[in-house]
Amino acid sequence: MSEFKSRERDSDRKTRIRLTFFDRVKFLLLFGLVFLILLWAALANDPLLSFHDAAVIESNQRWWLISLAGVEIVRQIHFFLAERASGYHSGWQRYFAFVDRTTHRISDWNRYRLSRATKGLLGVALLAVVLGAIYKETPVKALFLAPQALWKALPLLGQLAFAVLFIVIQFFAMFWFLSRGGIDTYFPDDIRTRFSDVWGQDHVLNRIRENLMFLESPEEIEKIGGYVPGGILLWGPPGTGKTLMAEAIAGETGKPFIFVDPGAFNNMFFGVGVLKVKSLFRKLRKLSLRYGGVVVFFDEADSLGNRGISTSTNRTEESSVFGSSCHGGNYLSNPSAQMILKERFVAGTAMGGGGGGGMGTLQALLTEMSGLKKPRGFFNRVLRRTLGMRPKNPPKYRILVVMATNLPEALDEALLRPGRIDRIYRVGYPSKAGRVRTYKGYLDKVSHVLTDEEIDKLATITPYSTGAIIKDTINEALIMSIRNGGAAITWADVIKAKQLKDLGPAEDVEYIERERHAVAVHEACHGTMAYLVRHHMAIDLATIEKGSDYLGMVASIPPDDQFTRWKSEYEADILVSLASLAGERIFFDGDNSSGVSGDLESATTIASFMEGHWGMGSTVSSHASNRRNEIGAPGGGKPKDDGVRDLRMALADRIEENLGTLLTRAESILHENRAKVLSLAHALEIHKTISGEDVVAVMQGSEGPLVDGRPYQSDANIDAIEKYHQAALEAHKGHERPRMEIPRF
Amino acid sequence: MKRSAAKKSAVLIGLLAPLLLLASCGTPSKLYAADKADGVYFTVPHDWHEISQDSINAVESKSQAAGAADRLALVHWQIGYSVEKNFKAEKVLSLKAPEKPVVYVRVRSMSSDEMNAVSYNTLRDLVVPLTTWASGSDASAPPLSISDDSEIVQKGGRGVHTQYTFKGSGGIEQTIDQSALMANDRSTLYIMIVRCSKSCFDSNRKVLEKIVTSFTVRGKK
Repeated sequence: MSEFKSRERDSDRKTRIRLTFFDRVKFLLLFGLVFLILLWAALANDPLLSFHDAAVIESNQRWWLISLAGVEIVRQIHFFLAERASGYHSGWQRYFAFVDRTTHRISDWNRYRLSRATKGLLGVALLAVVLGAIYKETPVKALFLAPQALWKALPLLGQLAFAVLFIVIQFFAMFWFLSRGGIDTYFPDDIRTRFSDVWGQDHVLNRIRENLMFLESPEEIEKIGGYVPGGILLWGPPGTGKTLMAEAIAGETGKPFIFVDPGAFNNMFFGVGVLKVKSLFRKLRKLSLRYGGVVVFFDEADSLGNRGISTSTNRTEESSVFGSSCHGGNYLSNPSAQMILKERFVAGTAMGGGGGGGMGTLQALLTEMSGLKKPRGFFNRVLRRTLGMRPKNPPKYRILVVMATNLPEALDEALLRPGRIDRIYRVGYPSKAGRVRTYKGYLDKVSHVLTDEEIDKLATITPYSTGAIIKDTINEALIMSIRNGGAAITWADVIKAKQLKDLGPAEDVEYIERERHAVAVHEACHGTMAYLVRHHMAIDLATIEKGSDYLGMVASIPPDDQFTRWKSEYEADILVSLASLAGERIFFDGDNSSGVSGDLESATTIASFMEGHWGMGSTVSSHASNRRNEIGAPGGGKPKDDGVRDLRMALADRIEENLGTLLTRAESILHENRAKVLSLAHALEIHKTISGEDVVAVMQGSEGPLVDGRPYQSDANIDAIEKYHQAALEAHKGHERPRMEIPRF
Repeated sequence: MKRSAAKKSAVLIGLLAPLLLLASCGTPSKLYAADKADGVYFTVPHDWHEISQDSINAVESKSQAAGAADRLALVHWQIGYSVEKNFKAEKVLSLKAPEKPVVYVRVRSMSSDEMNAVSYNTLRDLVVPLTTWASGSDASAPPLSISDDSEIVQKGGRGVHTQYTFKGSGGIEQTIDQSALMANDRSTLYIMIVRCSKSCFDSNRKVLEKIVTSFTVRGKK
């Protein structure tokens, strides 16, 4: 059995591949046939003409045909030699390499245009010669006579055939028109946005700038063997400036910029989307050749859909955590909250993708994005093949694909592979510096009296603010300022605007006194606990004004941008959550309201994650992988030092135990700080909404912006507050009005 | 398989190439003259020289004879051939006996008067008043011998072929071979005149008769 031999690469061959018999003679046969037809036409045209004379006359007149045949014979001799003599072949190859180099000195676009013009002329010339032979006219004249003569000569059947063709043309036209639209082309200088207009995303901008630099001068990377990175995915939460970034790319680049509408590939008919993708990429290739590069931007790329892989989304839906009477989720830092949401909703979202694309559109896009290196075009592939030449590889199309989405998990995996999307950048929440820059940028457009320190503070207390949110906050502050008759935005306007945006408008509900006191105590427990144990977050505000989905709340913010979370922090989070239950039981003699449900839910969730996922419990294994692999939760844990194993407990039991321990701790903390809780509750009852600084003032007995904390240091005052609490407690038990008014200092 | 293909193709190229080369290097054995629109064809030996339609038209347009311009307007095609290289177009139209053979072919429309009056005798009288001379009624008629007078029927028309010799001015005997046909619908007149001095005609008779027989009228398409 002979060994399998790998097919040699073209560059490794010593001689040319042998032509088949037909390939060798096909052109001579063709020329012979044409000559015979011409001869026959001449003989038919002159009754006196002898065959020999006709042959002589025709060959004199059709010298070009003879020349072509001669060229073909020379070519065949050349092929014949190249197939046998390796020296001749390699010499010729070297010569050809020189020719190729010379032709490649012309720019790609010019070569494309030249070849297009040549092909056009060739087509017309062939048509003219054929028509000339048919109409016995000079080829040029025949070319002009042909359409008219064609119509005259068309018998009825031909006309019917034309009518059919006409219908087909209508369909083509319809599909052609349907495949338009949704794709806008911008040329350099059409767009004024620049990178300097994008604030707070410098790290992403720097990488994009690099991409653009390579696009502008690709030789830099190509000459050392690399290639221009072809695709960027920008993903991140809404409003963080992905589209603005794309706009800046369009403004900065010296290449054309194509904007693809999210709805561009929604199609009524099967195949229109595919046509659209194809026409889009045809356009891209053309522009790329013409201008040496092109940028294409797919906004909301998730609309391209995927091929039916389950998608998980981050939609925030009404939840008891976040929609509770106490707005329990708001005690959590944003990542914790996100975690809970994701955990809750991952299972509940739509299975199966599809999206807007569907019907082969995505596949067409995938093919076009990675299939740029194939030889293309009828003339290149078919005609060159017919001539026994290898089709030329296409020139380098430099296409920079930029996609933006806030649902990266809705994208098809294949779309994101290197070669299609080479770089994936997360456009996250702006850094604090970015927020300061953004605040300044928007504040510069309006009149304001904020100092740099205030702007800095504003940026600090608004973590996770995106450009869009900041813009909106400033605008809301401006509206506040106008409503208050002010000429410029003040610090108070901004804070009010922020509260309005964060909490929504207060509902102007007046609680009855005993309920007001209960809510105040509930929130005061959260606030005091947060002040005492949660050092990684600062209290932003505390309120007992009823909003649309809460009775009152204590909102905290991280003072710095923080990226790691610790067990102690999560425990503090749980303590703050459990403070409401612990406090209500302490202050209402073991009674507690249903308002703690959301707090318990978030506490339980975090405790579950700590125990099952983050290695913050007694076991090590991750519940996430246990569940995925259907192993089940482990019992037990690390052996204690004394060698006695803990009782093996199920995950849920361990969580409950942890929560119980923490609840006890919360109770003891609150018990020790009974005066502080009642003081804060008093301040809340008096002022309804107080800022974080006011909370600190009450705790430390200092003077805050709204609340003076000094009276709370006096024992007499504390006694008065305690008395009022007892009165309110009596009223709570008897469902009646408290016997005394709230004391005021 | 490939080897035999190569062999076959080599044979084919070897056969085709000389054929094409031979065809392109040779010269035709005759000159083919044709007015394809009116369907008139004839041949002359390849070493003869053409007297172009333009040069003949130019000479004819200078003619002072009555109605000459009208007659010229009717002409579709006229052409001459001579053994002589620079044969003057004037001599084609004159009746002076040439020393070398001359062929002249003229295709023209007939006026409505002519169409009504045309007969074989009209065709015979196109160059010289042959019927009058032959009848002997004209005392001034030159000595004349008619060697052939026959009807021609072709696809495109019919007429008479006449060959005669007469002594013209200067006392030189001239032989004229004329074929005159009218189209089947009498719209068009086809004339071929081959002439030379008698001695010249006799010595070239074989060649000249070949030219005469090549005269083919297919008629309009």
